[in-house]
Amino acid sequence: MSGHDHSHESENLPPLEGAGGPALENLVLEEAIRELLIEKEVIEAREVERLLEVLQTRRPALGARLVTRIWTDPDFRKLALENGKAAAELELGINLVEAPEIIFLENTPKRHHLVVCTLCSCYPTYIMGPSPTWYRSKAFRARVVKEPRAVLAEFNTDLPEDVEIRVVDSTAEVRYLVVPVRPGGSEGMNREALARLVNRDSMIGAALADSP
Amino acid sequence: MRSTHDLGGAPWDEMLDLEVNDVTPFARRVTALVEILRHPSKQVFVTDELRRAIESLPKNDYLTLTYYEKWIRAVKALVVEKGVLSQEEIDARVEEILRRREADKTG
Repeated sequence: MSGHDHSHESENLPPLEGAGGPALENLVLEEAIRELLIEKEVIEAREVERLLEVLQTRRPALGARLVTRIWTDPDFRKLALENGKAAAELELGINLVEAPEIIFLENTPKRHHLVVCTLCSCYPTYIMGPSPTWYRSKAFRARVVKEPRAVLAEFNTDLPEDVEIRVVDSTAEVRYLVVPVRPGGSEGMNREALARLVNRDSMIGAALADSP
Repeated sequence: MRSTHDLGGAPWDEMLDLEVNDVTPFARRVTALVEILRHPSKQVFVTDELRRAIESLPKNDYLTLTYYEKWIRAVKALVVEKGVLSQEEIDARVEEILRRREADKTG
């Protein structure tokens, strides 16, 4: 593919990027770097295209599959708590060799985990896809370690006073995935139905799993 | 002194914006580029170098650019630092693409 093939690039014009979209100079900067790297054979156009396809396969639904297996399979739960990456590879059939360590944080009725990356944006992207924009926002990163309950209230997440909240700070080497408390009334549901209760924000600790 | 990126516990009285979504086609392209360049088979840079480059952006850029804009600025800094591309050729290509776009618009 020619680096100068830009016939399909009109979709990239700034208005379609929506809120939070890049300035034209940065949009064009990506295009320029990509073109030059392809021309110099540092990367290949098809590598970029393949990776764009791979990125689409990473979704919160994969995290939800892990959560529901932890809820329903004691042996898997044990493995997940000991070696999160091995458990994720086993259940999802994906290779996470390049990914940082994965640690599952199991919520209980008395202990709630809430994940942040105060320095940057670390998140289990290899499983869940890109983090929500608010997770990377300066307001979340600055506030959540000081006033987690006020932050949770903005998600309409109210926890009883006697629930201990642990705010866990991510690093580049370790990514956390919260296992929310299995909601009451979900007994006897199969994993597929359970997975629909596991919303993305519940795996960050910003929300609870949905009620059936 | 606290670095600009060290935000944990910093005074901040703004509410979260739960509606905004910056995962656009641009964001995906930047992510793809980063993952390819830091893959062990190429290792043009590693994750920690990317982070260092982001944290080294001028303070005003760090605070005002959107997330994936910071990433592409950091990628630029790294490919120049590593001698993979030169600042001049990147700038020239940016100018060329802008001219192309202008021609597309008016043509």
